[in-house]
Amino acid sequence: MFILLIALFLVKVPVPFLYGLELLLYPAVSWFVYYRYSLNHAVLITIIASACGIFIWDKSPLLALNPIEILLVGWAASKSKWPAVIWDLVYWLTIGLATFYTTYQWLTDWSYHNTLTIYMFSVAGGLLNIFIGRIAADYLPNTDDGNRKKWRIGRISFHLCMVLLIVPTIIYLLMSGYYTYQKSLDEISTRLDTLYGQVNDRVNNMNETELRNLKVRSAVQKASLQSMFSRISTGTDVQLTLIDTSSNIITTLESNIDEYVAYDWKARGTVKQVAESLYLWQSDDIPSYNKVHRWSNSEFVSVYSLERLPYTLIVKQPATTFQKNMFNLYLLSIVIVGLSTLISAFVAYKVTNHLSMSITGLGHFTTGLPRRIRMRESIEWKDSPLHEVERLRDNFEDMAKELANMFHEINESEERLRQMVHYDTLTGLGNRYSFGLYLPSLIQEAEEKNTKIACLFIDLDRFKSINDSYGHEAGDAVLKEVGKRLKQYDTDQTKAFRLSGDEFVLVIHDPLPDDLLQWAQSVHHQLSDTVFICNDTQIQIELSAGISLYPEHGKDAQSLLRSSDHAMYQAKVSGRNRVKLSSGSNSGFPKRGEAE
Amino acid sequence: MKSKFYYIINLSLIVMLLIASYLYGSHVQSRKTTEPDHQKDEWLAANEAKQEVVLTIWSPKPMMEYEIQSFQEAYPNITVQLTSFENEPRLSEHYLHALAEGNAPDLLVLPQAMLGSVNSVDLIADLTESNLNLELFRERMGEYLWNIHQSLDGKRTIALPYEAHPYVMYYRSDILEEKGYPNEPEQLAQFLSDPDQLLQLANDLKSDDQWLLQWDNDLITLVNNGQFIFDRDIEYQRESDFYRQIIDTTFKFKDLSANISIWSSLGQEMIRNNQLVTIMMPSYGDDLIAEWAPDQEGKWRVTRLPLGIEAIDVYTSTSLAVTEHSEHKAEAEKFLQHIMATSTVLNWLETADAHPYLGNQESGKLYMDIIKENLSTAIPTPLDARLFDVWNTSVEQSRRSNYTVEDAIHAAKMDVMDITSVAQKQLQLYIERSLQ
Repeated sequence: MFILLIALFLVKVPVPFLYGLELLLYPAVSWFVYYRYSLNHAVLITIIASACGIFIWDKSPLLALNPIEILLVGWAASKSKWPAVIWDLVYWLTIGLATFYTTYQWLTDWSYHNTLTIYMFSVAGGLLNIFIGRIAADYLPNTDDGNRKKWRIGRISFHLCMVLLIVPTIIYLLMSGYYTYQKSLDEISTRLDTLYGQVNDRVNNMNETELRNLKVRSAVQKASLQSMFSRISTGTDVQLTLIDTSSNIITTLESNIDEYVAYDWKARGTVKQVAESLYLWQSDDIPSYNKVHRWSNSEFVSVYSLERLPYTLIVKQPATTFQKNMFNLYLLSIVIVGLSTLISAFVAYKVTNHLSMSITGLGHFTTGLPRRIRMRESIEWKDSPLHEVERLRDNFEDMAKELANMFHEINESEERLRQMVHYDTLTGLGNRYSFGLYLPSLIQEAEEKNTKIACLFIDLDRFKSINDSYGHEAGDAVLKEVGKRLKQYDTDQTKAFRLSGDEFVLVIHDPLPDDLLQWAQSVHHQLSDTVFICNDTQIQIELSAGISLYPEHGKDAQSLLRSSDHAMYQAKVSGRNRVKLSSGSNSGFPKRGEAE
Repeated sequence: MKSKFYYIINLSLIVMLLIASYLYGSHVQSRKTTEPDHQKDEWLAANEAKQEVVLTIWSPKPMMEYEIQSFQEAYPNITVQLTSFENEPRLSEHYLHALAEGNAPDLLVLPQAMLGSVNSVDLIADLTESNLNLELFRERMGEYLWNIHQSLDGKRTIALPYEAHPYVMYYRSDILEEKGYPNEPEQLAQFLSDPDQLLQLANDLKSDDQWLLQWDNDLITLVNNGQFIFDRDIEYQRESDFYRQIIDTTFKFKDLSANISIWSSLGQEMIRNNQLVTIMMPSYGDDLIAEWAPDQEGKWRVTRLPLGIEAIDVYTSTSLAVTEHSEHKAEAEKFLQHIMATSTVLNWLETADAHPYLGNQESGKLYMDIIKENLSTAIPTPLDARLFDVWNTSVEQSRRSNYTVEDAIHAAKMDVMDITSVAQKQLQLYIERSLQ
């Protein structure tokens, strides 16, 4: 309701320019409503305000076209990416042009005066109202601030440019219009006074015959006076009329006037005093809402009495010349503002590039910065021409480097810990913990895919005696060498683990070798090589291994390992340094260590 | 859905607003004020009652005794007071001064030479606003008389002709017949339209001490007295082939005239002695000749002027105008209507009976024909007043100085324009503007 009241106020009180031009700002309220609320609300407010303007406050019926403009432009803008200003321009070049032209011509009896000026002014007014509505919607406080779109610096700079351009222009036009009008009145008064002085002197210097001919309204004398009127008003559109005491026309420069009808300069018009001896006459034949058309037919009038005869000289200065001059200034201003708007848009674009883009760029490459640092993504630190943005960028870069170092150290610690948890520190092979995670998951996958797994359990023969004979360091060297040799089997298909002491496991999954036992023996052969320890001491490695097969020898990790362990035991029992295939039964297994 | 509903409502409201605005705009435009018709009622006789009214008339000479008497018998409540200014040398000035000061009479009798002085002033009433049947008068008087009684801008009728005297040529039919020349009026007019035949006749007559003209410059004088100088566009009219022929013929009339005036006793004696065979004068001349030479009854005839000259005497022809200040326009209108219906002097309206002095020739019909057939486009203008004398003097000086015809015509125009060119241009512009 408050918004509607503002719209009604703006209909009733337009911004007055000179010679009938008015700037109606109530569509700005409609555009504000459009941007803040909805198109329907905006159109409804425009309809109500226009109707009140036309039928209550005697505004031009042209106002009835405003709801159409709001409706079409608002609808088009809501359905496209183009802003309403662009659509409004399209509207004024098409539908607006046709409807405005037709309506205005109809309202002014199809006279073509000032149509271009009014049209241009309407176009400028339409665009200005959208601009004002947009600014109000963007920057006025809102009860629902949480949902309001954030301001963009490019748009702010454009809006700022436009405000700095338009507001002073309007103020300048209003102020200069006021002073120009006052100056025009002074100029007109002086001009009319001068003309009166010349006519009065001429009559004062007439001889008796001329005076008598004037009294009888002789054509010769009237022609002589008329010739003088024409001469003294050459170069102007001033009209002089001399009438006698009965208002009979002695002579006149006015055209289309019946000389034989009593002359009344006030007839069919409204008269207003605008200066000390200057009156403004405006035709009552033209409806008051057609202010521009009314002004174009208005006249400034001064009335003088002659000294020698009781005659009255009426001097009229049509306002149309002054109106045209002022309208030319307005048109020029509109064109300048239009061009300046394009320049502002360009400047705003450049500012967006240099200022907003710098900040936006900074925002872009700081977005997800911790994640990108952690993921070790490359970050391109673009230079900015702006000092403040450059400093901010440097700070971010330093901070990012610090963060990257921190993440690197953390990753190394994590890796070391992971190595310690999952790998045997002596051989570098996966440890029992790692094996305990790997084999069940492999079995689960094999179960799902219906594939096979083989588990080769390896135990060094007489390792205890190595420790006893050469010391634990030699034992460790042997284990390292075995681990090293098993490393070659640490591939995508096979994985090697050290479970404990001298126990190793090699797990292989599909596709298994055709001859699994032969493969196991080849592994056995690879591992059973001489190990050189210090002082060129050679130790021949021997080992026993048992191989079990999933699912034949065990359907879970524990039973599969046990089957291979059992097969290894069978190898030890049967003479060591060999490979045995699990027989499938785990029952009657000797306790671990009995075969050692 | 709700949004669509509001959308339709808004569309409907827009359509209603457009229709209402159209109706409102149409209504406001139709309220424009219209100019009320000006209907002058001063010509309407508000006082049909028997209120005594004195109708004042100024005239250049005593006249209209019969008409005034019969009018007062018809309208006993209207007293007509006619004031004659017979010896007033500056009649035009006197009239205009009275008009300027607002003490002019109700009616003015104007020599037609004065029409130019009053057809451009606004203080002469416009008879088109009266109830007179002007179209009927126009049909009867012919276009020439009608035109010279219009205002300078042609918008108003400022007077009606009372007397109109065309210049004619009275001639001795018996003498011309005796000399073997055509003696029938139309045949003679046709014969004398040729300048050489006119000179031949003059020479033949001279050999017998008989004369065609009173003075050598008679032709110039009568055309100057019978035609105006400017047309309605205020364009000078006296440099046409017609004027060229008249001046050329006049320049050849050396020692071919009697060098005597018929207004003198010697001149009238020459008439009686059969020495003046032709007399060119206004149409009232038949009665005068009959008075001067009663013994020659039946020997005189009348015909058109030689060389096809068309002229109506502007000094003896008179017109009646109503002044704008008159408070008795209705009565003045009645008087004009009475004059038009009853006057016997109204020779542009009434055809006189066959004249016995002219051998029962129907001279009235001839006069009327001459008036109605006048094709001159020249009209009276306010510039005329001094120009008749200026032009006549200029041409006469050229004749005496043996100028060529072209030089004479050019000199006459220059003499006229020296006086009036500025006023002519101003007047042309004024009329052009007033007719826009």
